[in-house]
Amino acid sequence: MQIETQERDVVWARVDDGFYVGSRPGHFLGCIDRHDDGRFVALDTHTQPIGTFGHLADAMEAVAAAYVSGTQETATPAGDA
Amino acid sequence: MTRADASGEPADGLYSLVYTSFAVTLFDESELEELLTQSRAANAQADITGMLLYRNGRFIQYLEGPELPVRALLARITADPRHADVRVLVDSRPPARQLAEWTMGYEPIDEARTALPAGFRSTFDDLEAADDADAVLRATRELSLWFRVRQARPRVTAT
Repeated sequence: MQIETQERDVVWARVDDGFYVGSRPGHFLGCIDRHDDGRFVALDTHTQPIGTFGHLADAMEAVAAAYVSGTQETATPAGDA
Repeated sequence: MTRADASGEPADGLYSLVYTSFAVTLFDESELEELLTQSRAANAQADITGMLLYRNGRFIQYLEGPELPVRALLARITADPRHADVRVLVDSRPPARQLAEWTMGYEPIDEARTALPAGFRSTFDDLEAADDADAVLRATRELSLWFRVRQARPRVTAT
């Protein structure tokens, strides 16, 4: 339920073929990097790997879940450009 | 290429900007390398860090550092005959450097060749959203993240 709430204002963007970034206003959720073998590596807010997945949707769920878990301790501000 | 000392920050705070420009002529690898060599030497002296992306004849550059040197660099770039249509997308005062290790990191980036996944935004479309500063800032952060991850591992070959 908590993840569903978080997902309402989540924005996913594609930077290039194979790299995707999830964010909420003011915060990074994490990103997904597709490797040469076609699998999707999910990375947390600190770009640390949290898992490898066969499908993009599964990697997105992992990023969102890791973010929710992380915010129970502390949120990571996205900073500014 | 990397910045030797990332600890000291300007007393009057950091300033950053993102601009785009078009290369008057397409740059080959040796010309890009020359441009980067010049940039890195000048930026190290001016305490400027950032990244340069080159995509289909278009430069996208993120600069951060003390305000006056960053503005002076932008003025030189604007006057550089190799650049055309220099346009600042966003400027701000970030709390910390995003790319403290890079006097001018560089990555080529290709046009996406696959359809945008359903529900996804395009970072490069957002960069063009001149009337939406939030979208431009978010797109800039996405590019910065992409750059750091790409620098940390061998480049992915798109399929």
